[in-house]
Amino acid sequence: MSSPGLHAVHTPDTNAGRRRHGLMAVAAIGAAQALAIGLQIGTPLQPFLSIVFVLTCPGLLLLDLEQPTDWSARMVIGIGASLAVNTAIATVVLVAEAQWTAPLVALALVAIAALPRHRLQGIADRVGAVLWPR
Amino acid sequence: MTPSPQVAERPPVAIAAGGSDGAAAASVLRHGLVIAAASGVYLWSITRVDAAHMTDMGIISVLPIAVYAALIVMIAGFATAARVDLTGRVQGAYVLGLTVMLHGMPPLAYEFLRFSWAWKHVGIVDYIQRFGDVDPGIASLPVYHNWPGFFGLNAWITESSRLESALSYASWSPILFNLLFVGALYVMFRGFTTDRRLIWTSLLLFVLGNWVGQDYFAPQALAFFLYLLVLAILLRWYPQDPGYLDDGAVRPAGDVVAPGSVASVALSGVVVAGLFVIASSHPLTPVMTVVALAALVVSRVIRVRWPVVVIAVLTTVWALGPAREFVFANLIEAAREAGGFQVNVDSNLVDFEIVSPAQEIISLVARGLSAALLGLGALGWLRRRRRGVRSGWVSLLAAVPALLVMLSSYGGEVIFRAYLFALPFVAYLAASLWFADETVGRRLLARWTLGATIVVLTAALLIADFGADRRQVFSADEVAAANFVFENASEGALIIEGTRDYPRQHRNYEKFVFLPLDRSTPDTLRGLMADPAERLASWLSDDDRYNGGYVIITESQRNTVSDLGTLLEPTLDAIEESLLTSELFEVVYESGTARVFALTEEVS
Repeated sequence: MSSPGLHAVHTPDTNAGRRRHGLMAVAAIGAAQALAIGLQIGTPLQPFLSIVFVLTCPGLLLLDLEQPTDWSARMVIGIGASLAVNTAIATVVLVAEAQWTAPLVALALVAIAALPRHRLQGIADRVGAVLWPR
Repeated sequence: MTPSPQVAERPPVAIAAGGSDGAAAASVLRHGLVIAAASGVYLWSITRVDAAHMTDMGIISVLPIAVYAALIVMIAGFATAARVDLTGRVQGAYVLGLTVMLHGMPPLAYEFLRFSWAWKHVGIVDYIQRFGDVDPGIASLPVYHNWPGFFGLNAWITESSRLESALSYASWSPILFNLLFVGALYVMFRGFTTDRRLIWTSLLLFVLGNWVGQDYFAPQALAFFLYLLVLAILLRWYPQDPGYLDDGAVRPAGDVVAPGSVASVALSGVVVAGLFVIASSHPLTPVMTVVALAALVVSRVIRVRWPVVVIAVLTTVWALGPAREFVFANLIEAAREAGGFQVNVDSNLVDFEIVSPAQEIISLVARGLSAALLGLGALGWLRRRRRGVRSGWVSLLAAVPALLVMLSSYGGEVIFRAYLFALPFVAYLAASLWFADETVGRRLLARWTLGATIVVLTAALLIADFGADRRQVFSADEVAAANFVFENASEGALIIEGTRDYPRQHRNYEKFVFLPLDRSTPDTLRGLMADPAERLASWLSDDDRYNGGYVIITESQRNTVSDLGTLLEPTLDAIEESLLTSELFEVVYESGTARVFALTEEVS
C-alpha cells in the first residue's frame, strides 16, 4: 500500500526562524527555575514557576521538531514528556538533590537540542537502526 | 484496505458550510462572545456557592441558577457550532470551557481540598518532604511508598517552591488533569478521523462521562494521562497502516513520522519515559497498559512491538524490585480475587438496603450515566457499521478494560477504573451516533438531539460526581480540628475517628494509629455501645500499645454515617453524647461542629 504522508517527512524546513522557540523557552524556564532554587527566592512566584517548569521542561523542546506537523500535538506531547521526565527523575532520586537534578537534566537536553541538525540526525539514525532494523 | 468512497472524497473544509468568509468570521465572533459571557457569569456565580448549606444531594443543592444557565448556554452553543464549525476551533473552545466549568467546580466553589483520600495523598508528600525518602516496608499506606512516582514529583514541587504542603495547589488538580486528558485524546482522535465535529463531540462526551472521580490529586490521574498519551503516540504515528486513518480516510500529508527520524526518536523517548512513570507510579495502570498494548500488537493495529515489551519488563522489574515487599505481602489476596468477575463487580456496588434515599438516587444516576454512555456507544458502533465506517481498534480499546474486572476487585474500585479506561473509546463510538461520517449530522434534528443528550448527561454528571460532596467537602472548622490533632498528638498516639471522611492523615501520618469506628466488626461495636466512653477510654489508656490519643468527630463523619448507613447508624451521635457527659473525657478542641476529645488529666 502507498503511504501518502511519507514524502512530507524530509521536506526542507522553510520556517527555520521559528524552530528554536521551544529551545529558548526551555532554556529560559530551566535557568529561571535553577536560579530561583539556588537563590532560595521563595516568593509567591516560586510555586507558579515550579509548576510551569514541571509542565514545560524539557518537553517543549518538541515544539522545535518538524514532525509531528500538528502544533497542538507537539504541545500536548511536550507537556506529557515534561511530566514524565520530571516524575521519572523525582522517582529515582527522591532526595533533596532532586531539586538540582531536574533543571540539570533539562539543561543537558537543551544542549543536545542545540546540536546541529546533521549531528542530531546522525544520532537518530544510529538509534533508529536499533529500534527499527531495516 | 480500500477507503470507502464517501469518506475518501470529502467536501472542502470551511468555517461555515455554504457561507462566505465574512459570515463565518461573524459566526466565530458571536460564539466567542457567548463563551466569554457564559464564562463570566459562571465564574461570578460559582465563587458564591455556600457549601455549608449543602444537602445530601451534593453540589446541585447549592449551585446558583446562574451556573445552570451558563452551562445550558455553553451546551446550546456547542450543539449549534457542530453544524457550522468544520475547523473545530469554536467547538473546541466550548469543550475546553465546559471542561473547566464542570470539573473545576471543586476548586472554584470549595475552600479546601475535596475527598478525604486526597488529603492522605498530601500526607505522603508530607512524609517525603520530612524524610526525603519513602519506606516500602511501612505499616501504614504502604502502597504509596511502593509506587511513589507521583508523590516524588509533588515533593519536589513543594520543596523547590518552599511550600509547607501540597495543599497549596492540590485542589486545582481536577482542572489540570481533565484538560490533559482532553489534550491527549484530541491528539489520539486526530489519528482516527479528520471530522472535527466527531472529535470534539467525543471529547465532550468523555468529559461528561468522567464521573468516577479519578481526576483529583492522585497518582492514577497522572498515570491515566500518560496511558492516553502513549496510546495516542502509538496509534497516530506508528499505525500498521500508515496511509489511512481509522475511519478509512486518507491520512493527512505530514502526519506520518519516518522511522529513524529525529521526531521518531523523540516520540519513542516520550513513550519510554511515560511507560516508566506508569510502571513506577500506580499499581493498576501498568497492568491495563500491558493488556491494551498487547491487544494492539496482536490485532496488528500498531507496527511496533517494543512498547509492550518495555512496559511488561518495567512492570515486572518494578514489582519484583522496589515494590517487592508489597507485592509478596499481597500476592495471595490478589490470586484469590483473580477470575472472580461477578464477585469483583458486586464488591464495588453500594448496598441499596442501607444507604439513604438520596444516596440511592445518586448511585442510580451514576449507574444510569454509565449505562447511557455504553448504550450510545453501542448505537454509534451500529451506525458506523451500517455506513461502512470501520471502528476496529476503537472497539477493541473500549472492550479490553473489562479484563481488569476479571483480575481483581482492586479494593472495591475496579469496576470504576475499568469504566474510566474504556470511557474515551466508548465516547468516540457514542459521538459517532451523530457524526458517523462527514456527510451526516447536519440536520436540525441532529443538533436538537445532541444538545438534549448533552444536557441530560451534564445533569447526571453533576449528581453522580458531586453528589457525595456533603461528606467529602470540609469546612475550616473541620480542618482546624484535624490540624489540632495531628500537631498535638504524640508519636504512637491512637486517633479514634467516627469514619475516615474528614481531612485525614495529611500531616505526620505515619506517627499515629488510626481507628475508624465504622470499620469495626459488629461484635466490637456491640461491646463499644454498651458504654462508649468507658470502652474508648480503655483503648486510649492502653499504654502498652498506644501513646495517648484523641477522639475526633466532625460534621463530614456524621454525614457519611447518615448517607451511607454504616455500622454506626444511628450510633455516632450516641457515642458523642456519651463522651460529652462522661467524666472520663473532656473536649480539648471545639470549632463549629467539629470536636476533639481526650482523656481527662486524672484518667490519663
